[in-house]
Amino acid sequence: MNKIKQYQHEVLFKNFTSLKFLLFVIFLLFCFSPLENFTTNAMASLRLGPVEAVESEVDDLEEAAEEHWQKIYYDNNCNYNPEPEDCAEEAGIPSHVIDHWFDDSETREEMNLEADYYISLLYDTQPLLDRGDGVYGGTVKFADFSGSDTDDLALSGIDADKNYRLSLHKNRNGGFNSTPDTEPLDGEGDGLEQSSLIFADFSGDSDLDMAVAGRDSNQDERMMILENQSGFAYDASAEKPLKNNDDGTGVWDAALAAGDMTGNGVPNLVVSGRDVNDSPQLIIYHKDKYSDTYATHWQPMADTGGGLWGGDLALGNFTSRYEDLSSVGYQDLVAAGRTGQPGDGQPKLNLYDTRRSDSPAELDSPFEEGLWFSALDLADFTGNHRLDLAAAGLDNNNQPRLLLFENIGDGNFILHDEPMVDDGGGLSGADLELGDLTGNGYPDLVAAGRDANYDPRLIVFVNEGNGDFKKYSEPLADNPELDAEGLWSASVSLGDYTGDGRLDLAATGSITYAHYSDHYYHLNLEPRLFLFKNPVR
Amino acid sequence: MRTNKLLVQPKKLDRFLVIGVTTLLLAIFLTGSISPVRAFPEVEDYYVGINYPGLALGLNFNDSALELRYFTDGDIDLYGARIRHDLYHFEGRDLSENIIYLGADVLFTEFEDTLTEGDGLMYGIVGGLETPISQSITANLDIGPYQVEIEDDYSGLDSNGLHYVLNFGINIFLW
Repeated sequence: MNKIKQYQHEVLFKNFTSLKFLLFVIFLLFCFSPLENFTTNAMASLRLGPVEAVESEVDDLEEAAEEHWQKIYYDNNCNYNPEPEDCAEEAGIPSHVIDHWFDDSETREEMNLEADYYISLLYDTQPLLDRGDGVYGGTVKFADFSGSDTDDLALSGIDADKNYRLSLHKNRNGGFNSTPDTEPLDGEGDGLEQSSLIFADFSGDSDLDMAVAGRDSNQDERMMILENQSGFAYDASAEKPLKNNDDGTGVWDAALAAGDMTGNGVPNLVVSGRDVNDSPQLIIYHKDKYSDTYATHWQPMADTGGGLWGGDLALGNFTSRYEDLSSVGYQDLVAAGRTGQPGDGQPKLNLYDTRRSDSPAELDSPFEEGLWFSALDLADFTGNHRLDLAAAGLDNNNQPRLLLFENIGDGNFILHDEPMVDDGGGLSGADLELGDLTGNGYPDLVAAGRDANYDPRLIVFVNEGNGDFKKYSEPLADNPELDAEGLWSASVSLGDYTGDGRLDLAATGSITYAHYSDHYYHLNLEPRLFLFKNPVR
Repeated sequence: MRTNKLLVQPKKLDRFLVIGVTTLLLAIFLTGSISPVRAFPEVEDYYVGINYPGLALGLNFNDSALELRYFTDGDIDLYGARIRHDLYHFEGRDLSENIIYLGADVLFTEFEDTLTEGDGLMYGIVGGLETPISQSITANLDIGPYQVEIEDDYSGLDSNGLHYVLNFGINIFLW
């Protein structure tokens, strides 16, 4: 029996020797040969049964399909569409995919399927990245000063290379060169810090002129109106009309506003800030219709501290309903800032009624605590046909606030909402602007500054109607690629630089916070300028 | 409809574990240390296979077999055939007859998941061991590389990859 077995074994062994050897070689090649990459992938997983192998491929396919359909969804801007499901269907996304996305609340939230309809701002570019990065202690402003029907860009402040900037960038097919088209103060103080910059037709030629105030690289206070003559060129006459009428040459920690406050059809210029003696000023200039000279028209705080610094100004006819054309030419004034010299005084939020009176009448302040390092804007965000007020800044307890006041008529404001009360408290070193980003007819709010935790913020609040503001996005913090949470010593501007009729956003400031008393204050600041476009259709 | 499995990744095994298992199976075959007891059967057998996760219907003739195979988990169906060739018979400890075999599978697959639906092909070769556990029932275990190629009908996207598949099941012989 043993012999038979041995014989069978030998026969079978011989029969299979060549096959065994071949299989062994194939096996070794398969595992360790130049096919290793191939086998590495193959052996990365072992499947229990053929179904599991197919299931693994189906999982990969599901993931790829999810990306595929999401790309189509986002490429078609369905997340900015008020009817995202219809948009997705029109884009060719199968109904079962749409149902899966929209029926599952978790998926709906994770994918941010419709939220972006309101956010309506997409990061576009940082036009100054190779030339100063951005500015802090200054202003960024959209304005069509070149007459191209799309907004150009102007900015003032200190850039990342610690250069003082006042630069104007013409819109070039929806973008901006990092090299300015004009630097009016090049060689004449270079630029302006703690500055303000506005555009208005001061010369009456239908072109936007520029008024700017701040402190230049020689530490001189400046204030000037640069007339638009197919560009902005500095000459001494730009400062002359103001110099002729004032003790100082200009102001810093400045705020500017322009509007017709006297009803003569010519914009007045309103200025606040610290002059060469560190004395706060609040001056309303009047331009003679028949000459080029500006003269001090009103000094509403002449008897109450002189003026304000470190604040903001806003003009608008808030003492009557805005459809009341009879008083359109009589812009009222809101002024915020700090009285006294540094280390003294207190923050203020003052309202002035300019209706056909010889001097503006001060109205009751809606916020006695006052605001400095502040920002203001007026718009009818409650829908009551009166200009309401948005304000941000440090109150007299040095707490940052963001306040929305409803105009209840005749220049009386009541606190309507404080949207950051549970989210950082408010904003200081702030700027804000109201404008309809979503196209729903209600002005939305963009605000930047540092909050009570000293964290820089840039926040978009969406007005869902009647002044119900909802924080909808933080365009910097929400975008991990930008390496920035928000902006401090900030300036924001809403304007249409893409030429699509929608408000886009420019935001500049430091992405870090540093206290003024910090010896390395300037070194610790990292200014950046961001442009966000509004893709709402 | 299955739940969204995008977050559930299949468990990855170390390639050396796979190589080890395969080496063990091949070593049994290659060393020939277990003595064979008899030659291949001369009769034709029909059998029903219960495989994970599915069924098979097989016909044994001499040293080969043809199986019709079906697998499913509800959302994925596989239909196809296996051709099997018995390479080596040897005697186990209780004098039972064990078989080392090679096989080739070709399977057509249909699938439906949360976002995708479609079909495809799966094919591969296996090497394995079959051992009796009673007079008319055997258990089998095999492993081998399979290529899977599937396409989503909605998006037109496809996915393919090579997988090592471990198959096991039992065969119930009817004659």
